[in-house]
Amino acid sequence: MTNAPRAVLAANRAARLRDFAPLTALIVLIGVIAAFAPSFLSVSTMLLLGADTATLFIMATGLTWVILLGGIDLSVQSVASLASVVLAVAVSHVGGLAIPLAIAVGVVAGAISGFAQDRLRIPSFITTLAVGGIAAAAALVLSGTRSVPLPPQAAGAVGWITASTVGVSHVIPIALVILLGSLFAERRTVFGRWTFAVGAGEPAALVAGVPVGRVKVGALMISGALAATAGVVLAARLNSGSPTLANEFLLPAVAAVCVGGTALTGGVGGSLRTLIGALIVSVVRVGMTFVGVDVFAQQIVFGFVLVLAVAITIDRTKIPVVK
Amino acid sequence: MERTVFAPGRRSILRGAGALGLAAALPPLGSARAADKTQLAISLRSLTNPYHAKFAQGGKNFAAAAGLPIEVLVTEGNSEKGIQDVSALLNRTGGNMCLCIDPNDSPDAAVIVKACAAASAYVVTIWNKPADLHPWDYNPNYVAHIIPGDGVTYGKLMAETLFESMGGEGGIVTLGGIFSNVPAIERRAGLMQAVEASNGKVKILDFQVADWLLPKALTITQAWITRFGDKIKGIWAANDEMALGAVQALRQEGLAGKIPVTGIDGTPPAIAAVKAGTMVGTVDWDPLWVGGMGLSICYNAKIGKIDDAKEPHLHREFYGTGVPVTRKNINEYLAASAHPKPIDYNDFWGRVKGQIRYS
Amino acid sequence: MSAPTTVAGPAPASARGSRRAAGVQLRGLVPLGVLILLCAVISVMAPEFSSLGNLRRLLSAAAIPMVLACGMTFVILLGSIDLSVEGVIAVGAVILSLLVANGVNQNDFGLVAVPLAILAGAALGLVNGLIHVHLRIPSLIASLGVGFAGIGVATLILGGSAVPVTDPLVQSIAFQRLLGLPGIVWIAAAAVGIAWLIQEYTRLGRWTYALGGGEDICRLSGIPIGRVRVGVFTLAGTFYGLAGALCVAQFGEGQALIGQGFLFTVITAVVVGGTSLAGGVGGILNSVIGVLVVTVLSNGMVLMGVPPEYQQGVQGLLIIAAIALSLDRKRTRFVK
Repeated sequence: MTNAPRAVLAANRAARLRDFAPLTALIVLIGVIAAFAPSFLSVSTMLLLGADTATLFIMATGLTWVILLGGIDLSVQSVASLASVVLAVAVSHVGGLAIPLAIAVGVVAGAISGFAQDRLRIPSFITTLAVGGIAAAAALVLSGTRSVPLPPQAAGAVGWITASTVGVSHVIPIALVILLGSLFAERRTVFGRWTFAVGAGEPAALVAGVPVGRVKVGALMISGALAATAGVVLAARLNSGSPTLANEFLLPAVAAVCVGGTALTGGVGGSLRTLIGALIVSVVRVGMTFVGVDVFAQQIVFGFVLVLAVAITIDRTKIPVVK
Repeated sequence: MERTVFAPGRRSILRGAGALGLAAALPPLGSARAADKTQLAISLRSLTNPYHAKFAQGGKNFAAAAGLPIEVLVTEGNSEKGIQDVSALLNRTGGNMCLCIDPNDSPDAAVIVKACAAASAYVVTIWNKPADLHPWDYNPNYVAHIIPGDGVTYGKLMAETLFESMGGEGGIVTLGGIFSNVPAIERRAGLMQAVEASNGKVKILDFQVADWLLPKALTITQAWITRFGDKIKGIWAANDEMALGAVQALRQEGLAGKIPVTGIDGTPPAIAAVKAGTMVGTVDWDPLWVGGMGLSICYNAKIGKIDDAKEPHLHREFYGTGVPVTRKNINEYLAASAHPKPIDYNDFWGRVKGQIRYS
Repeated sequence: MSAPTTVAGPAPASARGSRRAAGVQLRGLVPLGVLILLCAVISVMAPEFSSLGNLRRLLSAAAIPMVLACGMTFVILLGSIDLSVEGVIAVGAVILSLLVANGVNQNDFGLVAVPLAILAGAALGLVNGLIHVHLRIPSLIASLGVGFAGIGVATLILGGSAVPVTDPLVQSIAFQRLLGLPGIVWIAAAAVGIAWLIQEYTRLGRWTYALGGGEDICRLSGIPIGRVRVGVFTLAGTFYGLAGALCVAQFGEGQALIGQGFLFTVITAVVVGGTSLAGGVGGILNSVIGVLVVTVLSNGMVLMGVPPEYQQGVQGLLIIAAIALSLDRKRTRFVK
């Protein structure tokens, strides 16, 4: 690491190339699947893929903010389920206001996790695991332990989410708006800069005067808000809320963030990478069905592709220690 | 800096390994996928439990008998994945498809039925669907909804079997399945009816949720033994896995076979436990029949042998027939299942046991 | 407030020394205090908690998480994480259940099959470590992938069925009592003993602490970092394989989902015991306490009659409280 600037230049070039690794991996994957099943490349399949990836992507984008700090949010699936229940229960009383209400619940959950992490000095891994348990219990109690169908009068308040315009489901533009918002926050706001600074090195960030504690709480609140948004979208798609609605979403969401190349140690990555990661996770899952991989082998293939994808996409030059 | 030197090597190794792995997992190019043949598909939670594994096998048996290709999809408990897989298959087949699905959660059924109807594919749902979604709302594509056994009836029946082997009175502890799951709710409702019918002779000491899982049921039962001791005269479980967990906890106390336990689902380990006397009852849904017949009804509607729009509602939303297996009939049951009768795929309504009630 | 006084300096050479410093010793007793407090509260609410019978049942319920925690503790001491637990258990359990007398095939290799299940676990752990170290992938992802593959392999072998075990010797591991406690408890105790010896008296143990304390300095001082990491993951896999075998004894059958739910229980237990997710702080004895806290909590909720829909929430709150009490905030300046 002590030798000449030439090495630095070479490293820079390599880094720029590596930025495209996730995208390349995605394109190669799509190519492989299309070679086996050409109909995979049709516009309708791609639109469907986009719509079906939206929920995962929204949740993973929130998670990205926490992971950028080197933390993790294990509460996302419970928070999403809770938000779906809040939406379903509240929509008959307050109409369209149920959507912001559900998202606010997510923000509160994130704030509790953040507060416990910042003030009680408990790692986010544990605070969010615990808050996830609390959110799950709240969803069970609020829903009376049953799934709650959206009432007919919710059609106007929530229906627009899943409607489509010229064949494009509205969840795709919703996901794009969230992507743009997140990108803007990453690149053009003080909060974004602080997030990367804290993720890259907390001691240095502190010395530089970054309000580390508030950044952490903020990231968990974003994560809670987006998890709740994912829950709202999911509830709209399934036309009901349920305390188990978003079950088994957590690990795919973590996988999406990592596969995109965001480092679990923090400081490296972003929501554009998460978009590609979410698409890779989706493409692998759908692709296996498309190509007809035997169902008994699917989990093995998924695990294998996951490891392989991260091996290719992760940018090791920016990560001194892999834990 | 040695990392940079080695990087290309590692990359190419990765690529090589990746190609090998994918090649091994993928079927050979151009393998039998004749586009003109109707694609059959089964979708269920996962193949890691005996019930769904046999369910899938039933579907494969029908596919073999009909000479059609079949695909098994698993949701892994993730609703979105379930929907995604079905949409992918609809796209691949252009809608020339018959699906028999046990939706991960009841709301999923509505989305999947709509997708199938939009693609002109045919679908039969099993166990889970919202109460306000009916096959006749989507003629002819949504052929039928089958609940292999009425949870209320059989949950009650198992409770009665349990009470009988306890001598008709005493305290029981009860293990429920995943919250908000329709069969879990129904089976428990049946239990409650039986308890009410006992006129206070049987009392529920406690109800706990063990998420259908054996390990969880075991630790809960251990705690119950501490809390209630010999006040426990019987254990009712909403499925066989949890019943077997309770049996294991009793076995550790030397109580297996002394305190009666009932399950539901008819899995092979549970049948063996009934034979051994550690359980007193379970209900066999015959998942081979469910998987095979679900697809048969679906396929025959597609080829016009069943005009589902003209069938009565009784044939569109029905309970199948479960076989109760108890200490009384275990030997006959085992003798009969040693030489199973082949399923008659054209006897569509032979096991219809009433139209599904929605309260 | 939360602002640190100095930057946390990784000092592997002194890690063991400072771990034994008086303040840390006292702090280390806090999880034990939490356990005692929890037991006291439950005993008041539900007097039958403190019966001898319940003690036996508690230890039997804690045995499998305890064996898992023996492996997980080393991984977390490194500052890594291992999500492959449930997959490795599945493989170990399926192998054992298919080799001993069972209700599916004619095999009857008896207890000889137990080392095979353990070996299978070790092999998966080795794969886990090799992927993590040589592909330089975070352990979270490497182990997630291996875990998926493990469940997949178990499902593939069984085709979805459950294998009821009839071998009386295997059954007796869980049921045969020695000095009033079932065999499975003694096996777990032996596993803890072995893990403690490895932690205290081997180079692997010392290096694990050193690596968790700070990898840069270890590299300078010539510790074979890669081999230590691979070694720790292999060791962890070995314990998970043993746990898989114990699952077969305890649950009476082998199937792909037999380990479901153990993963987060074990991680929670290790952290509640006072082992830091950042690495370098804690140890096996902490995990013993942590496993007992988690087991007592779930036992206690049934004893006290907490309604099932509230249990997850109560557990969440109590875990935050327990960890908040036992964390040494002077040592955890940076919380991720």
